[in-house]
Amino acid sequence: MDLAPVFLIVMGAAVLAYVVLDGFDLGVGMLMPAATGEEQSLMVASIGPFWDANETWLVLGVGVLLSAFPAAHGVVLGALYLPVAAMLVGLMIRGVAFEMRMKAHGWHRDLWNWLFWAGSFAASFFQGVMLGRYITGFEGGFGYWLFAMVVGASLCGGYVLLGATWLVYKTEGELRRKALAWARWGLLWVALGVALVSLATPMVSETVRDKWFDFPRTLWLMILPAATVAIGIALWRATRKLEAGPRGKDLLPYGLAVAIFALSFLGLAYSIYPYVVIDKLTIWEAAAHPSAQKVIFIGAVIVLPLIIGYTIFSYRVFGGKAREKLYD
Amino acid sequence: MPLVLFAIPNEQEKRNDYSIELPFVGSLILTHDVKGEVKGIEAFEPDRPPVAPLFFGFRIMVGVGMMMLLVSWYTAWATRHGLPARRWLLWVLSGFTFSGWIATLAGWIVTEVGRQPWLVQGVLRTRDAVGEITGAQLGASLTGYVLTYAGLLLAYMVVITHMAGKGSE
Repeated sequence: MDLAPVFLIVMGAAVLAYVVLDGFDLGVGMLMPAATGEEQSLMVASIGPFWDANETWLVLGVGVLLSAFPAAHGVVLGALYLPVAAMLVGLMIRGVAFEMRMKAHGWHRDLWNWLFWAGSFAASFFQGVMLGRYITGFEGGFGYWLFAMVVGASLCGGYVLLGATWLVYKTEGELRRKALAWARWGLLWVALGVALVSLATPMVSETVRDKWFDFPRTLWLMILPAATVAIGIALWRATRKLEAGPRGKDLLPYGLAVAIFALSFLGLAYSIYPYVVIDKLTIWEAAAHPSAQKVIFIGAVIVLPLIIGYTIFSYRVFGGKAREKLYD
Repeated sequence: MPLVLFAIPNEQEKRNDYSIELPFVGSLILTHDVKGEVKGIEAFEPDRPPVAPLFFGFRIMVGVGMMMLLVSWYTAWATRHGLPARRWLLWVLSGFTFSGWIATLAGWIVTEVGRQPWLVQGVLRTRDAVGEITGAQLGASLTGYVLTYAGLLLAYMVVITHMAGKGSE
């Protein structure tokens, strides 16, 4: 049995789950300076039970990359060495700041709040840089790096969208009203980022160009961007509508934001498949020895249901509006 | 083989200078026999690690661990027998604040240096596993990690000093 596509799906699902889940808590971290001191405590409480479990998806994604596609792991993480190191420093600072800010007072708390913002921002930005480098095939030169940085900024906007819509779901009153406005800002950045990546990938790679501009298949494929735009408009209108009342379908904006990420991800996956390193390494060329794949497969079959199970469980237990003073 | 408690290993001459040894104990620990034979490091030439980091790393790990046991056992015993907390003991205990870290780091050096030049024993050499990352990149990331951890260590010390100042409530 050919297991390479199975692992590709597991890896893709893990990365997408990471982006939409850790994305919202990184986004909340980036929104900290826009809120008052009391609101900040509430914002931290709204992500408190979830944020570190969200990061396990990143570990799972990279773990599958290492074990199932070792050749690609070497190329990808070698080429992305510096952005990965910078992202890790961001995640470390942010994780510590999360714990320390609750116990600190006075200017110490201000410092940790600032570090929480800075770490969240650095982690998000460098993840975007990694994406930008990855889809341009790690080409050198100023233009490619500039592009990667714009993708980094756009991913920050995307995470702000996820964070803001998460706050709409988890909070009430003034903060919820603010979050609805933040969500619209995030949406504008997402529109820019998705447009940029969609234009850049076919320009950089002929393989991608041939896949998308191949009539009449192109007409079917256009459903994907059309659906993304439609969902974006629906999300904009939903934030307007929710502003009218104290409560409504408060989970809807986050759900729509996740849908935008999922569709963009699908489009990207279609562009790159069957490569793991664009135009250089296919999933079969990068795959581990079949006997190793079998072992990893058994491990995945045992571990994955457990991760999915506890994730659903914890989101159910801590569902609904966040309460203040979760930590204080 | 004796158990060498302390020495200055001399790699050129392949012997230990200024060594303090317990005869036969090394063989007893490793082979459960006072006359047991233990292979010398020459047997692994030329694929052998440098001696000094291993020699001292191992002794720091074991030495610090032993001292931690002695201090904790004595303190537990003294507390149980209702002895008043003496000032010198309190200073010894606070001196041991980072002992666990030191022992762990020393042990880490033993395992990482000890398996050189192999990354996977007999299969993959460290030299062959190195990626295509430049020295400048490694330097940049190492600087970043060191600065981050130095900052976090400082924050940690501020916190424990603050908590110690508050006393137990």
